[in-house]
Amino acid sequence: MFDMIGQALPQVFTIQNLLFINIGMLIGIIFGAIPGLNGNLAITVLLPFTFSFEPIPGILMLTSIFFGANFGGSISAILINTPGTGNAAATVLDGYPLAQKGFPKKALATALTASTFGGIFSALCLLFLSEPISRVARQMSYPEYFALAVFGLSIIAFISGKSMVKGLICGAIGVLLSTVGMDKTSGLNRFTFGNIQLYTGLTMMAVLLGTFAISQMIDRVVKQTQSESSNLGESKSGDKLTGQETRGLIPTMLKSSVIGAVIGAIPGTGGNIAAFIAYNEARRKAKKGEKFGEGELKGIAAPESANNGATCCVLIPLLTLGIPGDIVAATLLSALTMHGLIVGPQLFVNSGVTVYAILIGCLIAQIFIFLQGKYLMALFVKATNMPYDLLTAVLVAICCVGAFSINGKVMDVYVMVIAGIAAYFLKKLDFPVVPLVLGMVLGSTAEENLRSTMAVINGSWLNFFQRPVCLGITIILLLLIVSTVYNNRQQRKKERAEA
Amino acid sequence: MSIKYKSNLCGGIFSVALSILLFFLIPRQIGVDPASTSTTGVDSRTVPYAMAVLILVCGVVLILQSVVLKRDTVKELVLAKEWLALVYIICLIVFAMLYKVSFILSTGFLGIITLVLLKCKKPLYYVIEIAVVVALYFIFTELLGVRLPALLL
Repeated sequence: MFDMIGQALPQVFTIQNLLFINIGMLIGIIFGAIPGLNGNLAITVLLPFTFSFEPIPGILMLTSIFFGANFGGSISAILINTPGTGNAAATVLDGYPLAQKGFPKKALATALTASTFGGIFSALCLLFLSEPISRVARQMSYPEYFALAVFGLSIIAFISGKSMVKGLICGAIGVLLSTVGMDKTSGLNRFTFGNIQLYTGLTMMAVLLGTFAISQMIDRVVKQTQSESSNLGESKSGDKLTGQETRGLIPTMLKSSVIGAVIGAIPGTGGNIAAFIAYNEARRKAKKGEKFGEGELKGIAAPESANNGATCCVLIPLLTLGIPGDIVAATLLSALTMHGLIVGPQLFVNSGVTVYAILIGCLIAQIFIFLQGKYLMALFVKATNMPYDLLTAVLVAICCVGAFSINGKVMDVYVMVIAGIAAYFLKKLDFPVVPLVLGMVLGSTAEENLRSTMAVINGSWLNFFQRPVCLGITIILLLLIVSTVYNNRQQRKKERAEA
Repeated sequence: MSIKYKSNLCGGIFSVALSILLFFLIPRQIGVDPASTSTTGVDSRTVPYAMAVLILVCGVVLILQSVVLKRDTVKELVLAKEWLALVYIICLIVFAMLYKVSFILSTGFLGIITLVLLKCKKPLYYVIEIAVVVALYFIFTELLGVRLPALLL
């Protein structure tokens, strides 16, 4: 391995490669930051252009788009309360409140630092630990995926804010939305109402745009003025991330990066699950005075480190087993194949030097995220300081084109509008909408793996609990529930005593 | 004029109503899959029914919290402001219906309505909004290759 790394190093550090990494990163950040656009669209559009390049610069540009888009999604999550990508949904919880308080640059700087930290950690895991991690991932099967999905869904209870019951209702609605379309196991259509456009199900990004962006636009129209609405105000003094604050975030970032790396390496999971699990873990370990959900720095750092911790590790099952972990990895799979790199167990044997050059390039790309992000951040903050009414109208236009551009279907526009209207009414009844997103993200994973699990365990749940990973996840989940219920009781006793 | 309502009570009633609707819809929208039922007990209707039951139970809990435990928040709908939401929602529906005819027409309409409802008095902003919509059209169609609806440009 070190032999091949030594041979790969000079191949990476060329002006062409560094230039393409930066171009890809810039495109990725912009695409990720604009709601409705995403890294996958950028990769798909630019893929044909890379055919004329050598494999290393071509693949590096595409992977840089992927990494950049991941960070870009958190920019819009923090500045306009609309995650640009599904992975940034958890960042909204503390990122936007902190920006609203007059600290948008601090919020973005935290996201950037955490993203870079998580990305570097993930890239190092990809470089040095691909083989051992993939060996562990190979042991996982349907019961383990089901246990992980249920674990992810359980977080609904912890991020529901004041009302866990309302959070559960929204989570259940999210799971129901994930069932729309053709059932992959039985081939039956569910909740399609005879509409052929619904056979492929609801597009998550369209639901995200509606839930976060459109409902917010309706709210802005009602509230009318900047002071009444939740638009960002002027940046306050002290709106930057200090060295002391950064040092304080290191344990959170490290833990979250590990969570992201482990979950990212499991096919079919991805950064969004990792982000929520990491957020919940950071929230659970909150010290006195740390108020999650109100602009806590750890509430931004945890999901950002986790989702970027997952980015490079998502490539592990792709490169070592030929299994794309998510849709972006699937697009990258086609890119790798077009460039003559056949993924699977023999990849490192047949094209080791090229692959290690790409992996080292992924590590370098994480550093460029930080450099580019630092300068682009300021531009994006300036953009949100546009006049309130113009900004709202422009965002509406971007969402309208973004919803259609996901799949080229008018149905996604309808979904966005309906989701936006529904989310507005749900918010009027104090229902939290983030659990709805989580339910939709994890619902289909949980159901598919439940049905496959039932076949694997022959209908006997004893067989499920005999699997070490399943048992481990179940025990952790039960402990989490017990500790949360206990902490909440203690908190309520304290509040009653103080009152 | 305003309407006061109890958030948990209304949320509970909404949830119970939703679950009843689901119990009605599920057998009509999801067929029975005999193959998987016989081997695993989990079929295409299992998860939807489970979620409907969960929503029903949670809805009842919310109603009990409000009526029995008296744990509720009273919220207020100021009709003078909320009618704007109704107007905007109608405009969103019109926009959605127009979208397949023309992206520029529908999105331009929605953008302008947004500015009108926000009481924007600067003509320049209206011009900028239309320019943004047209620019987005050409960026997406020419640069990104996305075929936006364009019956009437």
